Amino acid sequence: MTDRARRGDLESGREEELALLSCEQADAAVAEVDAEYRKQCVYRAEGVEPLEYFQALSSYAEAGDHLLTRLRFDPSPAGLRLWSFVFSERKRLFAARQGGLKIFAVMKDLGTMPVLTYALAKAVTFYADELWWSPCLMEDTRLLDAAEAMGCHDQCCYVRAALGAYELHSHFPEPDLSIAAVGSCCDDFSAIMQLIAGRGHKTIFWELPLRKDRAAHISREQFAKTFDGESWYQRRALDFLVRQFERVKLAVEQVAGEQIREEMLRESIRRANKVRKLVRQIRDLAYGTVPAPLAGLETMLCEFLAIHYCSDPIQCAAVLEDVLKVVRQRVELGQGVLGGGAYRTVWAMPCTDPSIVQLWEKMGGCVTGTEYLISHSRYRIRTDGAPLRALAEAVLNDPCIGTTAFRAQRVVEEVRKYQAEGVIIPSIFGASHCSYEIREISSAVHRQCGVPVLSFEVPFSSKGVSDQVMGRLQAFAELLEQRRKKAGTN
Amino acid sequence: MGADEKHSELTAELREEIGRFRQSQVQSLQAQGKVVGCLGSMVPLELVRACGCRAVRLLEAGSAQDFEAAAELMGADTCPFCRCQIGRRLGGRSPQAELQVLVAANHCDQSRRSGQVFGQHFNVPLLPIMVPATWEDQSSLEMYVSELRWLGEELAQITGTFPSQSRLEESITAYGAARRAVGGLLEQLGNTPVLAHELVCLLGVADPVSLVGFVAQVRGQVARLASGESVAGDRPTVLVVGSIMGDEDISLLKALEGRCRVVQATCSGRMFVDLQVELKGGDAIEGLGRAYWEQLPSVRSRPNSPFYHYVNEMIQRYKVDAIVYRSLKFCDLWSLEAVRFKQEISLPVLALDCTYGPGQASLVDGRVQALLEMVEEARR
Ligand code: SF4
Ligand code: SF4
Repeated sequence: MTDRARRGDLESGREEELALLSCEQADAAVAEVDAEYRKQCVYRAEGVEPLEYFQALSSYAEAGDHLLTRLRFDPSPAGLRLWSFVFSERKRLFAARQGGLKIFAVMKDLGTMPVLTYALAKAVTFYADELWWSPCLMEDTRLLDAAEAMGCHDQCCYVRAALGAYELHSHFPEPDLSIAAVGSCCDDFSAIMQLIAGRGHKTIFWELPLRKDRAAHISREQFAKTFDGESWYQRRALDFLVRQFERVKLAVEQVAGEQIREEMLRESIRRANKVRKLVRQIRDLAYGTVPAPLAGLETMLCEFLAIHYCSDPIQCAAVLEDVLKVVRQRVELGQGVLGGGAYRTVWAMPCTDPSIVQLWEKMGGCVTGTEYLISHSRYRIRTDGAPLRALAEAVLNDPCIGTTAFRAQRVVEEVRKYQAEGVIIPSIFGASHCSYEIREISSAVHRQCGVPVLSFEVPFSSKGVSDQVMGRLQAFAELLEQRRKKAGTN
Repeated sequence: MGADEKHSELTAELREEIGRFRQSQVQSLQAQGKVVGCLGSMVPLELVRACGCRAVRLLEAGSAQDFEAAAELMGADTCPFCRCQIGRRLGGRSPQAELQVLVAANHCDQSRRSGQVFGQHFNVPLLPIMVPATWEDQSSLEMYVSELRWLGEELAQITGTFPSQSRLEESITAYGAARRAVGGLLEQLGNTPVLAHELVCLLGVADPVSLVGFVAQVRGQVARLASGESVAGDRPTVLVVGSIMGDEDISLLKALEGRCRVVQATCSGRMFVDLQVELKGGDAIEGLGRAYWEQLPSVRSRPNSPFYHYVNEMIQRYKVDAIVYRSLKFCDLWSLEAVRFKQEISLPVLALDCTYGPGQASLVDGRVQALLEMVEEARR
């Protein structure tokens, strides 16, 4: 919790709730934004026509992400800029291609490989994984249908939309190289990455190693801890990873026609660390302050920016700096976008349908901690020693490459750190790891934190949140309310 | 007695013998050192045995009861094979019930995670090994070999027996002989795939030296069985590829039996039997690792071209007429590859998504029949 919350400002009545905006209201607010500010919101890259992205959110809805019309948005220019920035990525990618930049698609490692590719000035990188929430955003099944035609049915999670997008060329230009992380990862995406490569898209595979936990019966393995992130790993895994990175680096250099020198990589790491720090600061304030100065979805967008900068590292940092400024001001003024009494919940899976997060907030809940499968992307990357080795080490913080218990512990830490009253696991339909994780996370949270866990499956729907999900959330809110009454804290 | 009756009688006799031998092997498990379960085809039994353990490759799966029994620990949408590993331990069934150590490869995400469930819930020490999915760079093979060295050291800590070069050589020779013995019989059992499968599964659970003895004992019966098959030569040959086939997971093989010659080439079929480690005086762990690495192509490899290469080789070697591509329900690695497989292979392919449920047999039977009718039609 922040100092302000601890100081007891809540009781002093300084709390002020800011209203979120509808899409229409957001458009009006965007139109009123100062021209000078708007001028800062431009994607610039060598050889590429400058591209202004701060636009009416409805224009992004019209371009395909229809769900935006049903969402509510932070009223600040910084918040609106954040949304615009995220939803304009597609335009940036096509502009970059037109400008002759190299396009790298990265997959599955969620946070590390772009640090390597962004060492190059004339390249952009995006995660094909991002397409994962597109069916819900688009409120249509086009991408899923295209994937289905290639045998990728609903036994697989929504990441199959990435395969559809490769096929339809709808969301990104044909990448010059796809960089696919396989090995200790989910079977869903592993299968899809193979199908993508099998369709003739130029792909290099690299290995995510299995991270082993220390255990009493394991005595012949030498373990070390990551520089930041406190993750134990077997030393051999790091040496192996360095060789994987060397291989990918070579392939990237061949495609780019340029060598990535150590100082270029160091600079890229410095930039990544800056973004990561901004994200840590934002989420600490957003999750740790009552009333919440930033809503769940805006904070989630910030968290996801850390993995790939939404194809523009420079604007990404500027957007986050802006958001941080607003969040700090709000904390200072006691302003929040949600009521001070919101039920504090950690979300232990990213929600494919973002409107569910807002539904929870409407029901009186808030997001106050997360483990979105990308927590490794916010830890600092070592700046001493060989930069490639530093990157490799950063991979070893990935919550998905080790035991289920490891990730469960990350959730427990979030619950403790942000004093959550409950945990919500919006299970990803078709994701092979979810079944295992729900059990493990639930039991670890019950055992170690004594707070309830709600898990439910998020089905695809173009007609809004299902009654079943609504009912489950409502019942969970009631449960948390009863617990407060019992504890005498409401 | 007619030829068919004689054939059935011989088959039944042999199955009984296999069952008895299997039983005796299971009963003797604990008498031969720590019982170490090996989850995944890439855990070398030779190495585990060389550490003074009784190696058991976990191939026991396929019953609906074991599948159901796992419900308290495994979600409904998990791999049936993995569920059975848990279900059998919960139900006290062998050999899962006897395991004292589990070695689990990260062959797929589900086997990695179910290995963790097994270790945690049953308090069985878990030794996870990394088997890289990538192979284009030398570092992947080196990592695998390094994992095997580590595994050997770790098991040696538990048993006090280090897998020395001579111990490894003895173990490799023993398993090599057992594989060759079983392989020799398989060539004659193409028309009785259930029997062939039960025999292959013995390789997972039996002590290899005893298995060689057992094979010598039944060799005559197998020859008699094969010589009595009058129409065998006319039948089409069907190659079975796909998800691992547990010992009780036989509905597909039953549906094929009597209708065609079957080559079962899943990771618990020919691939498992054909593996041979060549000892040319070099480092035994390295040789072992290299043999497993090169001879067990997997659909999970990235890219998975070695798997396709293997299938094409099998098609040539056995003059295959059609393929049954079998995935287990909730196994993404196999099921999501099915459409691509059909496109890549220029033979009739029947893709089946199987469970261990009771309705399975009739469903499979109908589809197999349709496939074979199509093949017969094409052959006419
Ligand atoms: S299964 Fe899970 S980790 Fe894998 S791509 Fe889908 S959501 Fe991501
Ligand atoms: S059948 Fe599929 S999911 Fe199950 S263990 Fe084998 S590869 Fe893994």
